[in-house]
Amino acid sequence: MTLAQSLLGSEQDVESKERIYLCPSCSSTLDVAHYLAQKDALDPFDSVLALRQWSGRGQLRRQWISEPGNLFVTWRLPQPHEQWSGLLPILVGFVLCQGLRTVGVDVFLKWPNDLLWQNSKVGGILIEERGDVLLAGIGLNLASCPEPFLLREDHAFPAQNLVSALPDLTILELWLRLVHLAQFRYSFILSCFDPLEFVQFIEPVLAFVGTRVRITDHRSIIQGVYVGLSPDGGLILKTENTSRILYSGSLSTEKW
Amino acid sequence: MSLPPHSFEKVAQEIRGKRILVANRGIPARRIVRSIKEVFQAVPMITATDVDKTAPFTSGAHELLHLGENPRAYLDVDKILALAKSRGVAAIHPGWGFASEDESFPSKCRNAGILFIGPTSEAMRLLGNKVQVRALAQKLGIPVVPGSEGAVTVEEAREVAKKIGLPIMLKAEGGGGGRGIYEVFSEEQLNDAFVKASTLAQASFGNPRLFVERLLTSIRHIEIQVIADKYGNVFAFDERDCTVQRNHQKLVEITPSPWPGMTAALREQLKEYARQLVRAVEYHSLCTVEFLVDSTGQPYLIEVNTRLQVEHGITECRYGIDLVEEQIAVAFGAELRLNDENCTPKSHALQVRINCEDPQHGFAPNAGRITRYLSPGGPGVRVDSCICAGYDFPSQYDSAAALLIVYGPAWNKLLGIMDRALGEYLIGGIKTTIPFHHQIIMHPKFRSGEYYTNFITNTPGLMSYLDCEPEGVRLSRLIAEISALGYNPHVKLGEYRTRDSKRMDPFRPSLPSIEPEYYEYPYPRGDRDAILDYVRDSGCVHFCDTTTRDITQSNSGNRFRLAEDRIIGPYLDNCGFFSLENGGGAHFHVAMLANMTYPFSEAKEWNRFAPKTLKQILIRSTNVLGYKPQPKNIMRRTGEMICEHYDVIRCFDFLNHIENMRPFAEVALASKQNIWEPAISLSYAQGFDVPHYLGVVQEIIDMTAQVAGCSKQQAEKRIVLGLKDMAGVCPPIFMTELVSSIRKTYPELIIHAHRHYTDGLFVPAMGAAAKAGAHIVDTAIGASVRWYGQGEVLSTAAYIEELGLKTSLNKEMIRTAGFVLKQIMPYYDRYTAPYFQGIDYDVIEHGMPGGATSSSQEGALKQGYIHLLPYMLKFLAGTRKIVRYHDVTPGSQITWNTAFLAVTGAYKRGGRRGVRRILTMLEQMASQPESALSREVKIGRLDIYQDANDAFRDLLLGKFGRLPLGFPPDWVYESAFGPEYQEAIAQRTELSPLSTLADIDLAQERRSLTEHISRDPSEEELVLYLNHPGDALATIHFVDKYGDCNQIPLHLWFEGMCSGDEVMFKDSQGRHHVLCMKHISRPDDHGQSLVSYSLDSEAFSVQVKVAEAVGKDEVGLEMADPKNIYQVGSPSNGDLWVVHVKPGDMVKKGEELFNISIMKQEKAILAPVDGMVERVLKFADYQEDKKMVPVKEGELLVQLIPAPRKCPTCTTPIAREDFRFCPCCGQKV
Repeated sequence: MTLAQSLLGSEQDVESKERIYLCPSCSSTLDVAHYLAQKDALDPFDSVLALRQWSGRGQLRRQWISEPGNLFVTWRLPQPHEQWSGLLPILVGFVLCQGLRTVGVDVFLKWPNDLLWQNSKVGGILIEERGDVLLAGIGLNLASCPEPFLLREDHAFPAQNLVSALPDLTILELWLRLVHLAQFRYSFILSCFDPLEFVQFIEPVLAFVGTRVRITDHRSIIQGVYVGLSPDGGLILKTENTSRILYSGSLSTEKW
Repeated sequence: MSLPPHSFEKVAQEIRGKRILVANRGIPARRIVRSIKEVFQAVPMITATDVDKTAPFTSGAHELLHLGENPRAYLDVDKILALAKSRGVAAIHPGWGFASEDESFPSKCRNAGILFIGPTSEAMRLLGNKVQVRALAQKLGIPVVPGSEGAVTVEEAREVAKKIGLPIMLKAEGGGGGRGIYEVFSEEQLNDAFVKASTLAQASFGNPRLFVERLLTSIRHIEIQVIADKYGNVFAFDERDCTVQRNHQKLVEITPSPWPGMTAALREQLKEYARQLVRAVEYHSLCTVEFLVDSTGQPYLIEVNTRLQVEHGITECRYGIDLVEEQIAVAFGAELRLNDENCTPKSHALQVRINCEDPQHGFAPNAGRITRYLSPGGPGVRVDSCICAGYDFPSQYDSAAALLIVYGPAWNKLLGIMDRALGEYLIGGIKTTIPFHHQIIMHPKFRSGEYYTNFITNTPGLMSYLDCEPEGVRLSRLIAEISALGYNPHVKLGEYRTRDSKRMDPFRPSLPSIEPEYYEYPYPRGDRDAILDYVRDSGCVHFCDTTTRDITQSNSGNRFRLAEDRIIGPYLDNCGFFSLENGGGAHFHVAMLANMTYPFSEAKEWNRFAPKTLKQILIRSTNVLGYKPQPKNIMRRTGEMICEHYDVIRCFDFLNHIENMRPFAEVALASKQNIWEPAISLSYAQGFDVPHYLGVVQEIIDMTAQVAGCSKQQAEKRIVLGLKDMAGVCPPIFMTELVSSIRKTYPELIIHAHRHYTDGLFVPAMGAAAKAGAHIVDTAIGASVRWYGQGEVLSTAAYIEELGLKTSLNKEMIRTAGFVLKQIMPYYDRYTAPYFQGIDYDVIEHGMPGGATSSSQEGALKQGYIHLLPYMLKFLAGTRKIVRYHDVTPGSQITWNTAFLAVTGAYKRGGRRGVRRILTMLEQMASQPESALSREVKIGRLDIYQDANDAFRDLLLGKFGRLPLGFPPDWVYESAFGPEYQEAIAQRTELSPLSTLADIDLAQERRSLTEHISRDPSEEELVLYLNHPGDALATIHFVDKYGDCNQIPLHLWFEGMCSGDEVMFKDSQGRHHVLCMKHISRPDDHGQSLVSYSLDSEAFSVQVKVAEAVGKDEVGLEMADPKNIYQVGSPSNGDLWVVHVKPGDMVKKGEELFNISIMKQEKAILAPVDGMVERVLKFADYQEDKKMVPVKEGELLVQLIPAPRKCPTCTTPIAREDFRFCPCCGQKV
C-alpha cells in the first residue's frame, strides 16, 4: 500500500487537480511548502500534508504541538487583491469552518485565526507571506490536543480535539474534502464579494459577535462589545463611550 | 391607485419644505441632494457615519442623520428608518448601492409611514429576480439568453447544455451584477462545476438554486433607461452603451451608442421591449433594462435594475432633463410629464468614472489626502464629484471620486471635450483613473466604436502610460529640493555647498541679437561628397569648435548643460566653423549621469537652435559611448541613431585596432549625408613613428574601401582622417613630419587634427599641422579655454595666418560668442572645475591625457598618497616604454591604475626605498638590452607588475584588441600573472573583441526596460539603456519625475533658491511660471526640511530629507520613498516582530529582511535588490524579548545601499558611496 492509500484507508482514487504533497514527517509543513514554492513546485491551491512535525509553529514562532493523528497542512493560496490582505486569516478560517460544517462539525471562527468548537480551541491558522508566495498553515486537533500544562500561559481558551465530533474519515480523506470545497469557496468569495459584503455575510460563523469580549495584546487590555468586523479585517469593539477598530490582540470572553 | 393624477407643479408645491432623506453617501448623496433642493425647495438630509460626517459631499445637505461609528451603518435599514422617523422625514431616496437593493426597504418605509422614492418591494422582487424576469420576458416575446427556464438539477443542466451548446454559464438565482457566475467550457466540467457552484450559491446567497445560460462572446452591453408613473405612463430613453467594463464593472458609458451596429430599428426595438416589461408589472419609478447585444445585432435581455444608476447622468445630458427630479415627482404621485413631443434627444454624452485607484497596480484602491483638486469646466462638461482638496479619501468605502460627463452634438466632439476635460482635471496626492481613461479615450478601437466587453482585458497596452503632474509643478519640486539641500545632488559632485554658502549672482545674461540672415554657412550640409570637395578645394584652414563638448569635458567634467547650449549654440552656428563638436565621448554618459538629459534629444534640439553648422560626435569604437566593448548589434543600433543626429562621426580606438571600428563604418558609410572620420590615436614615443602611423592610415583606407565597396582612391576621397593627440604630447616638429607624409601618400585625404593643451604647445603644434597640410583643426571659444582642453580659436587662427595660410572664420561672431560665454563660464568654474589646474609640460613623459591629468592625480591626493605622486608619474613614463599603446581612454586609465598600484604596493612593502627600487628596475628594462641584464635584475623586475589589476592583465591578453606594437616581453607576463604566466601567454589573441562578443537579445532588453518604467520606452530610451543601463534608468525616472531640468536657470541648478527669492522659468511647453520661495525650515528631528513656496499663486509644501534623523518621536516618521528601491518600508500598519539584518550586512535580492505581523498574518519583507544594509530604523526580536514594535504603513524600516560598487579594475568593494577613488588601487570610480 502506498502512503496515500494508508492514509485514505482504502484504494479509492483521489480526484483532485491540485497536488497534495505527503510527508511522513517534517520540521513544519510551512517550511516544506516554502521550499517547494521556491522551486516552482507548489502552485496555488496545492498543499503539503504531514503526519508529524518536529517543529510545528504558531504565530511569532511559538511552538505548535504536533502530535501524530492531527491535521498539519500548509495550503498555498493565490494572491488576492490588496483590499483583502487584512482579511486573509478570516477568509481561510471561514472556508474551513464551512468545510467542517459539511462534515457535521459546528465550528466557529474566533477572530482572527482560531477555530473553536464548543468554546474550545480545536485549530488555528497561520498565514505566512514571502514575496509572491502566500501560505496558510493549518493545524486541526483531530485525535488529540495538548495537555493544559503545555499551553502557553496567556492562552484564551482550553484546547479540545474533534474525535467525538468527526465522522469516520482518515486525515487525508478529511483534507481532501476540506480542500476541494475550500478552494472553490475561496475563489468564489474573492470574485463575487467585496470585503464589506464579506464581513457582513460571515457574521453567523464568527464566535462571540454581539457579546462582551476582552482583547489583550502585549500593550493593553480592552473590553467591550464585539460589534463585527470592519472591511479591512479589524475587530469593531464598542467600549463604554466610543468604538474602536482593533487590528491586533487576542480575543477572550469575559469569563475567561 | 385610486387617487387622481397630480400635475408635476402641484406635487412640487406639496413637497416644498418637506424633509427628504438620502440614505446614502458620496456621489449619489450629493447628486440627489441637488435635485431635492433645486425645484422642490425641500429640505435635503443625508445619512453619515463617523468617517463621513465632515466629508465634502455633506455640504449641500441641510441636515445630517448621524449613523454612528460603524462604517457599515448605511446598510442598516432599521436604524436609518428609526432615526428618520424621529426626525420627521417625509421621504427617503436610497441612491445606488448600499440599501438601494434591499427589497425590504420599500415595505419597511411604508410601515414607518415614510415615502420610498423608488419602486415597491413587490416590483423589486418581480423585476429584480433574474429567473422571474426571464420568464416574464419570454411571455412577452422578449429574447433572452438561451438557457434553462428556471433553476435546474444537474441532469437538466446537461440537457440544456446539449440543446443550446457550450460554453454555458451556471448562474446563481440569487446573484447579480456579475456575481455568482460559473463558466463551463466542456461537458466533463459540468458535474463538478455544478456541485461547487450550487454549494457556493448556498453559502453566498442563501439559495443553492442555479440556472443555465449560454455564455456569449463578442457582445456589447446596452441598456435602456425607463421612467414610469403610478398611472401607467411609461417613457423609454435612448440607449446607454456600457460596453467598456472591467470584471463586470462599468468604466465608461455612452449615449447614444457609438457602435456602428446600433441601428435606429434596434434602438426602437430595445425601447419597446423595455416599455413592455415595465407595463407588464405596473412598475413605477426609474429602472434600467439591460441587454447584451451580439455582433449581429441580436439582443438578449439580461436583467432589470430597479433603481437610479451611476450612469443616469448621460441620459440627463442627452435630453436636458433631471431624472432624479422626475423620479421624486413620480414617487409623490405626479403624472409623468415626459413624452415623445417634449422630451427629445439633443446631445451625445459620455461618462467616465474617476476612481481613486491605481490602474497600473491592479486598480488598487488609493485612499489618502487629496493635496490638489482642480476640476474641469467649460462648455459640455459636467462633474459629479464627492471630493475636494484637503479631503482624506477614506479607505472604508468604494473608490468612486467623481463622474466626469461630457456632452456635445457629435461623437467626435465628445472625444475632443473628454480629452480636454481629462487634461484639465487635476487630482493630486493619490492615484486616480484619470490617465487610464485618457488612454481609453485616445485608443483607436474605442474611437471607432468597434469593440466588445472584453476590450479592457484584451488591450493591456492601456496600462502603459506615465501618470504625472504638469511639468511646472514637477520642476518646482526639483528647485525646492535643491534649495533645501543647498546643493544639487543630481550633478553628483558631492555636497559642494550648503544652504548658507555664498551665492553667485542670479544668471541673467545679456544676449546680443543675431540678425537672421546675418551669416551664410558655406558648407553644403547634407551632401558628404560636396562638403569634402569644398573643404579640399577652399584653400583655407577650417575649424571645428569643441566649446560645448571636449573642452568642457576636460575643464568642467562635462557638466555643461543643454540649457546653456541653447544660449550659446545660435552664436556658434554663425561663426564659420566647419563643425561643432557637441556630443559623444564622456559627454554622452554624463548627459545622463549628471545633467539628467537624454543625449540624443539634446542632439536633436541642437539641430533646431543651431541648424546651419555640421554637428560632430566622438565615439569609442567597440566601447561605443561607454567603457567596455559592446556587441555588434548594439554598436549598429547606436550607430544608426548617431547618424540621424550628427553629421561628422569621429571614431577612435585606443589601440588603433581598425577592425574594432568596422560596425560603425558600415553604418556611417552607408549614408551620403554622414561624414565618416576614423581617427588615429597618437602618442609621441619610441616605436610610434611616422612609418608606423602610415601603416595605420593604410589599414583605415583598406577597411573603408572594403566597407564602402569602392577603390582605395575613392575611399581616400570619401572620409576625413582624424589625428587624435589626446594627451597633447606631439610636438610641432612631429606633426609637420606626420601630416606631410600622410598628405604625400594620400593627397586627396582630408586631415582633421585634434589635440589638447596639456603640454602648452597647442598653438604651434596645430600651426605646424595646418602648415603641413591638415585641413581642419579643433579649437574652442576663448572664454571657455582653460588648461587641459583645446586651445583658443582666434589666437590659433592668427598664428596660422602668420604662417601664410588663409582662414574663413566669422571673427566678429566669435567675439560675440566669447562675450556670451564669459557670462556662463563663472558658474561652471565655481562648481565643476578640476582640482589641479594649469599646464603640465611633463605630460610628454607621463602621457596622462586631458581631463585625466587632474582627476587621476586628485585620486592620489584623496587616497593619501600625494607624496608618492612624483614616483607614480615616473612609473608612468617608464611603463609606457614597455607596454606600448596610446594615452587615450580607456588605455590611459589602465596605465594610471597600474602605476598607482605598483607604486603604492611597493611603498607598503618597502617604503620609499621599495618604490625607488622598482623605478630603477623599470628604467633598466627600458634602456638595457635583455642580454645586459644581471640575474638579480631579471628576478627583481618581476616585482614591477605584481600589483597589476585585471584590466591591465586583460590588456596584455589582447582582450581589448591588438596591441599596436605587439605584445610586450614575456617577463611582463611573468610579473603580472605569476607562476602560471605561460598559460596567459598561450591565451593571447590579436583578434578584435567583436569577433567573440555575442549579440544581445534586443527584444528582451526592450521588455525588461518596459517592465522597469511601466510604459513603452521610446527608441532613444532603449538605446540609452543598452549603452548605460543603470544611468539610463536613473535619467528616465528623473525625467518622468521632474521633467526637463534644462528649463531651470543656471544658478538655481547649482544653488537653488533662498527664502524670499522669486524666480521665473518656462516649462517645455513655453508656459511661464513664477516661483516664490516663502520658507525653508531648518531640518527637524527626522532630518526633514519643509519647503514652502508658491507656484503661480498656488501654495505648495514639500518635505525634503536633508540630514540624518536625530529624534525619536513618532509624529514625523521617516517614510520610505516608494520609488526608491533601496528604501524598504512597512507594507502596512502592523507589528514588527523580528528583524534579521543589521547595518553593514550584505543582502541578496529576495532575502528576508524583517517580518511584520499584520492582523496575525506574518508577512516576510524581502530585499528588493542586492545591497548592503545601511540603516535599520526599528528593531524587534519577539522570540527573545516577547516585544513587538508597532509600525506604520510606508514607514522606512531598512535602508539599503547599492551593493558597494566594485572597483572596475581591482574589484575591491568600495565601501562608501561618496568615495570617488578606489581606496585600494586609486582607480577613479
